[in-house]
Amino acid sequence: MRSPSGALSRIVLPIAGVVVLIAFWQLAGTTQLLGRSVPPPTEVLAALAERGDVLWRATLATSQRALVGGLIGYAIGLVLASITAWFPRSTTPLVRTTVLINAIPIVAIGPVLMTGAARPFIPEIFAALSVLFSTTLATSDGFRTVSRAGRDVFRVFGATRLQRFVRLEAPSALPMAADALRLAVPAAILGAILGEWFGAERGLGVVMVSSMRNVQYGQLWAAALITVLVSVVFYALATLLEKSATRRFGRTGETPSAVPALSRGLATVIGIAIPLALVVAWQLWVLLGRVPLIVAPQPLQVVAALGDGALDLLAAAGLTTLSALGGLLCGALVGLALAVVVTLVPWLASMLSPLALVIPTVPIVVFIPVIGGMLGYGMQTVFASCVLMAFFPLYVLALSGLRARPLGSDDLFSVYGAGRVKRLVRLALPASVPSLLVAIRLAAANCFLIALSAEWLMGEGGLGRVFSERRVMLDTAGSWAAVAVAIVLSVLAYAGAALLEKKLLARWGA
Amino acid sequence: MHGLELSGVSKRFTTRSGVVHALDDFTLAVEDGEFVAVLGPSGCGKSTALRIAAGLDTADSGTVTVAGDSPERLVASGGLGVAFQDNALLPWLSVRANVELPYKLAGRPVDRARVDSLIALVGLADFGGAKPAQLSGGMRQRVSIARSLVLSPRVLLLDEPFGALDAVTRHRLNVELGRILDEERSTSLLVTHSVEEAVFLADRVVVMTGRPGRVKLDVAVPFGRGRSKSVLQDPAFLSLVGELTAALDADDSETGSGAGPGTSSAGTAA
Repeated sequence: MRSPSGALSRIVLPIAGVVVLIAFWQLAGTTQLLGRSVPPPTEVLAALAERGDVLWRATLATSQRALVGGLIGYAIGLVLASITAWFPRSTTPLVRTTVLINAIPIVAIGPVLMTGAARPFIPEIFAALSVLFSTTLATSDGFRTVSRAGRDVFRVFGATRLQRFVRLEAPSALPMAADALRLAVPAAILGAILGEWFGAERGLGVVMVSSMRNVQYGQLWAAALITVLVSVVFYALATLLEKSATRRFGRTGETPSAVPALSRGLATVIGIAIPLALVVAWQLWVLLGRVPLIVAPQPLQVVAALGDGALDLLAAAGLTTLSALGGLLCGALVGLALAVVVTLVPWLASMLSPLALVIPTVPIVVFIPVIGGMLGYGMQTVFASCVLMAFFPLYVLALSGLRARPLGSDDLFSVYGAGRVKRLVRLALPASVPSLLVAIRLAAANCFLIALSAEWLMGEGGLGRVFSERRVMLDTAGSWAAVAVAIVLSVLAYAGAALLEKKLLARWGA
Repeated sequence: MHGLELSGVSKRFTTRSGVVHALDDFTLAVEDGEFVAVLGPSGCGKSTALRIAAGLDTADSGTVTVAGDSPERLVASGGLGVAFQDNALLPWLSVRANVELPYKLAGRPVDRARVDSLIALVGLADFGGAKPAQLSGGMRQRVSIARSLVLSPRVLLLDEPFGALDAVTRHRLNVELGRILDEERSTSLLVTHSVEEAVFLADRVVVMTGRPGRVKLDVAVPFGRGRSKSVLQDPAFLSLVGELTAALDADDSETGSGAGPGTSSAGTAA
């Protein structure tokens, strides 16, 4: 089937898609097809008008937190990336450390921060941490897109190291640093909102949770809608910036050169030394600072709490894993299925194209209170949040993956008269495998974040529930023990997905 | 009956910078079992002609007959083989699975003996299980050639199959391709911008004008099939290469003054 012609597929059908969606939403809302928890757009608009001042102040508060935290995280990411440019040997340990930080769901750090002096700044800290990883990774890659020839030219003309950095490496890295800024927008807003759930006086996250608890669905949806809009606007601004950076400095088109490898011995030493040093520093801080137990337990007390609550923690970990991985699997299947359908039906692809455009800009946590409103407090909300979280990246990446066919292969299939199904099974689906693997790796890191956040917010389910219970009981050691389990679990899930990606890609023939 | 006939074919493309007149009243006939090479400056529409013959593009006007049928009908019967400029191998399939792919697409049972013999014929007998990423560029092109031949096509279309390779590898593969095609005896159309390649492989060489492409010169090659490397030193070979190169150059200077796009630098795809 031929794809619909230009203007129709690019303008008319996408607008029609949005109109159909809003019409369906209005219909479902007024007839209460999906229950009272899905208010019609008119009710959401009414809530916007009625509660305008509250929502406006909340929007300002959240935006400010996301901006401050996000910019701090972004700046730290740029500094770390610059270190990898000046000292290439530091790339592996630095990048590995940020990968590790990224694999830790930020909600798991919440209970740790809540007891300390950092408490009022949790939204900013979360925003900074959410941004750090992608900024460091992308910009460090950007520095390594400098070609050997470019470096040689600077060397031949006797440039100093500083000149080389300022005039060659930094401009080469700029477009990718601008890419990172774009990715940072939804991440920073996600971090700020999650942080607000750990106690803030105002903010969109606060409004969402209180409206969910007070069954003010119009206001809940209005706050969620504003969050998405703020994200879309900042994302669009960052995209403009990225475009102008690319135009001004151009992309080198080089793939980043390989990271200089560490010797196995050194890598092992660093891998053991850094965590060990952290634990020792923690012990010294508690001992020398005479930190009371209610603020921070000693490492050994956490180990003891791990032993005491082993069965409870194991059961909670099992429950969280079930929600996270089960949700990941379901969401992935639904996302892939929809992407396949959309690939086979071009007009549907055009109608749904706004969806694929908006998805990358949406901070996914906004859906947790909305789903909570629809499904109620409980495991079902945790699970549904995980499904939705996995669905989004899978759908977007599967869609692009199904189109990423090897050069000329479509012509090859035409020469042998292959039909649509044969093209799908033998060409599009296998071609999408690398994209799907990337999506699963990204989702694997996020599904624990979402599962824990939803559990924390609902007070139901696995480890997230343990966080909130232990906090109420002022059992810091127990709460930190749950944090430790959550971190290990998430890192394992991420490492597992990364390993799966590597193995399958090798078999796939990349 | 003609193996392949394009008659009065015209084709325009609408691009962002305006309408490109790729082919104008282009006529070319290839006899049954004959090997014709089409030479032309970059951008003269020679690849467009091949794509139209393969049914990948449709002509605005004119008629196309391939093995006495329309390209679409020939495609449906699996009677067409095409080797692409970029090899278009599927990276997730082994060499053998890539060569078997046409059977699967045409819905025919796989002839394993035929697949093995073709893989051996292109000199990759030890690499049947390898993935394309493990092969060199020249080896990948040989897989692509084997794949294009596997269904014993009545008509074989070669779109600069070695265009992306270095001169030495290209030359060696040309010798092999000549030997392989002598065994297969399909009606063949080769599109290239290498004069030596055209004269070395083809029974007849056609030179095209710059865009819009028309036939400018049509010369029979005075050597039989089964040519060896020694042909390259033959005075008749050298003088024919000289004559065709001059014809191509004349075209360059004619259209070059008009500063038309695509008539300048060689090496880019037509």
